[in-house]
Amino acid sequence: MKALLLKDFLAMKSQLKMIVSILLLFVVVSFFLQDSFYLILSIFIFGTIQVTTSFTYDEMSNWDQYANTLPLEKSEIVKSKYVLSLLLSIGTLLLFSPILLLINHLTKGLLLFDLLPIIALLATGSLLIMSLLLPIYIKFGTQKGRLFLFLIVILPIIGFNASISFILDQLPPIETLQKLSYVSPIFGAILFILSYILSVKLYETKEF
Amino acid sequence: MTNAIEVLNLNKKLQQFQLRDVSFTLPTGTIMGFVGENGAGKTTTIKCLINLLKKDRGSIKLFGLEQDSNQLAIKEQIGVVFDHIHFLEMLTPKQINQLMGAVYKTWDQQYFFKLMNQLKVPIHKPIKQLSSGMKMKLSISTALAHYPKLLILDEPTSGLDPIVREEILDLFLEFMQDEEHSILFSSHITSDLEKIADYITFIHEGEILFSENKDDLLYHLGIWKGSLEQAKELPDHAKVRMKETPFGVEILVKRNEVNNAFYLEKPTIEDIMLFYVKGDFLK
Repeated sequence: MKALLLKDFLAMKSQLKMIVSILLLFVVVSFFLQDSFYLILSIFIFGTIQVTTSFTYDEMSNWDQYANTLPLEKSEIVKSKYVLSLLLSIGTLLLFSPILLLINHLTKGLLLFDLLPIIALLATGSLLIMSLLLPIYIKFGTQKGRLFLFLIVILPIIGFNASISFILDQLPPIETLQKLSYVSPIFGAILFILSYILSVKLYETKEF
Repeated sequence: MTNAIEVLNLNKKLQQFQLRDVSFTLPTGTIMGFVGENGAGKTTTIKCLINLLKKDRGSIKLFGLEQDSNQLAIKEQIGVVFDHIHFLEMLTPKQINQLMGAVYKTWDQQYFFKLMNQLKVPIHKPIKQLSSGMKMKLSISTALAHYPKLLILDEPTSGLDPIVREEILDLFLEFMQDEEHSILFSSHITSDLEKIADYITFIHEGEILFSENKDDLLYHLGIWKGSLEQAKELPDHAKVRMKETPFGVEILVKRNEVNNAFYLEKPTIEDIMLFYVKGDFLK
């Protein structure tokens, strides 16, 4: 698996300058807007985009056909994509957390107590999106998968807008919500593991 | 003598194509040329060998091991080269070395760089900047640097100029210095196979027409040329296939079943292929 991750990171290295500049831009924006929310959001979007890019690169070079001639288990090939997406979303967040905390401290933005539930919820969201997206990419490829990405992002927004008044009426007290948001990554993680098991099954039936 | 590859009654149905009862054996220490026109089933057979496609029926053994239950052990010992390089185009040969070092236990970095140097492939340039000849040399070096016992090559020389092809064939001959090594080499450039192959397996429309020792094949067959009228003097059982030409007919015959009085030309593999694909049976 080390080799597969290495391949994805080496490929990313070629666009390192652009990646770093975009993330720096968001650091600056967060400073000026005195709100670190945008930085956190951009980190998660960055993760999703990079995972999609890594699948696109693989497709362009027909990598999977070659990878399956090497002494690698199919489950390892799938696992490498799941580990990659974790590293790119949660990993980048951890990497940026000192900057986040610094921005938050300097701009006297959100209290840490308020920031953590947001991070927890975004982490859950990120796990959720990856859990849905990765099996789709593995089964259908990124061309069709992109359409699903669109649906995965748009449908919940439409659903949320349509039912917002109802949701607001039904919401439990804010303290309960906060507690729920802390444990939400656990549900995300369970879904992520189930998604991995499904992806391995899908990959094993694939022909190249 | 053990066999590097044993395929028996391999069947695989794809959307508009089917492999029917494909059987052949590649003895250890030899090179087999796998020929056939485009779409004849060469790549499909090769993909079944390495389980990129799942066979419907039949048995495939590599190094005497059942292919489906010993995949990793088999893949440690083979090197596969396709007609195109399958690495991401922004990677450099130096990075590929890093990558493959993490894949194979037996990867030899020094040997890889020695090959790169010998074949004049720049190690710091990304693949997209390499010529097609260099890309192929890189693919082959990558397949060699973990010391495989068997090379499986799918059209490695197609689209390359004669000089690069010669260099690549030399690499294969060097690899064959070890008598434990074997090569399955699919190509429609039959002159390459004529130079290096010990066996020729010919596939046509998903079926194996013959799989024989190259020298026997070329020695035992001959081409007779003449008119249709004259052709009647040839014994029927000696005739393999016939082709009509603007000047009369050409007949592929079994040399030992024809009287020495008939003048027979020595066929090339390409001739034999054309007779089998374009020719007719003759009564």
